Amino acid sequence: MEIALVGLRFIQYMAVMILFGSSLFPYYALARNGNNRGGNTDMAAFVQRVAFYASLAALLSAIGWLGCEAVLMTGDTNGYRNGAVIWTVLNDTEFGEIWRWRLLLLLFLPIYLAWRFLTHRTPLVWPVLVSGVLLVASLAGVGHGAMGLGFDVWAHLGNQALHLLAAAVWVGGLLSLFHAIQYIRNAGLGVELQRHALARFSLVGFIAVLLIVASGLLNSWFLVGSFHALLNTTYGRVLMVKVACFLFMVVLALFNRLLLMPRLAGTDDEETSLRLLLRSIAAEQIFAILVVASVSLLGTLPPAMDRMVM
Amino acid sequence: MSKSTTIRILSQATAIAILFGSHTSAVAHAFLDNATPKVGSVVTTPPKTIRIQFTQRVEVAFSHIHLFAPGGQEIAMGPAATDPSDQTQLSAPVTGALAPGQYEVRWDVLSVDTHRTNGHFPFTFQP
Repeated sequence: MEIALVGLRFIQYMAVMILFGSSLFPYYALARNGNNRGGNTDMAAFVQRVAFYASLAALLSAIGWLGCEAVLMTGDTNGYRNGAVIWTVLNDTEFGEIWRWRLLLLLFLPIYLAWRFLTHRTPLVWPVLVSGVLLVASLAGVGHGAMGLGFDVWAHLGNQALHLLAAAVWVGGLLSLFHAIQYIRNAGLGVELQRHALARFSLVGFIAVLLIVASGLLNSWFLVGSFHALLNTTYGRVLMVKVACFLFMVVLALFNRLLLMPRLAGTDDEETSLRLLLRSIAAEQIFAILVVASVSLLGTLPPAMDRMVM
Repeated sequence: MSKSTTIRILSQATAIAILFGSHTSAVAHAFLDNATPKVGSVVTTPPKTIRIQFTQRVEVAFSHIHLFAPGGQEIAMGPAATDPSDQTQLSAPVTGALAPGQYEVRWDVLSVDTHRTNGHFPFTFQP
């Protein structure tokens, strides 16, 4: 059951991070002038299409996650199909308090997006963005984020929400960046728009990295507590794998910003640089997936601090 | 390296060291902190309630306290409840009669971070 929960957590985290990060991207990275009107419309349609599938994946994984919790909370392998147990989980636990309105939002979002698509309405990004913020931030209150006593609870919750939102800006933004670079190239809109999108994404990504590092250190203080616990517990070791993947992402981002972006300025090897850039962004996405996978596993493990106490 | 740069690096390193230094005031899952009757204690009057303080807030809907007599039979108890002002305290009334002897309290709880923990401790009733 724990393995199923790790898989469902992974789908849930990926889906909501994509919802938020990909829908925020057009607001800061796309040029607002006339020659990119086509790009902006295409991006809105892309975000809405991605959001439809991501919200469906999030809804199904949220239902599965609830079933797993029913089994794990009761210790009964049939707990997931016991209506009374599911009702108790949703009504009488802190997990349920958050989960029941997340389920409602996740039920509403794909229906709303499908309605807009089927009635040929202009794609809208902001409903996806608002839903994305709520769905990502609320994950902070589930699992280890809920731990703590007194002021610690709010400090940990706020910090965890900040950590997740900053990570989602980067992880979800990569998907939109990849699409935008490809679209601008295929539509022949010019290298300036690509440089603009990359420069803006780099700036926002840099701020996101700073927030991820700061909030990550604070989270480690809450859940790990010491270098000894970091090195000698499963939780600590998985956390180190996560940090290593994160550092690979940072290196690739620096490679894109400092080496590839300057070569997009109309030089002879522009096309080669562009291909390399797209591959580098794809590699960054793979490391992002590994980071989210390790986060999905960490949530099911006893925090390092607990192991040291035990 | 200038003096101001050295000071800045040292202060940043100190901040990181403090962050990673030691933080053991709280744990994530619910473990026993203290109990009434006390763990391993000898009481002269039978307890009317078993009260356990945990290191983390617990979900009362999925948390239980059981009491077992020296022969292993379970003593009747009322439903467990948390203190309205302190969700780390779980208590359950003892409704069955206790004869002199050593009893075992077994607890299994769900902490608010949705992880289960369990444990047990003895106490002796000796009028």
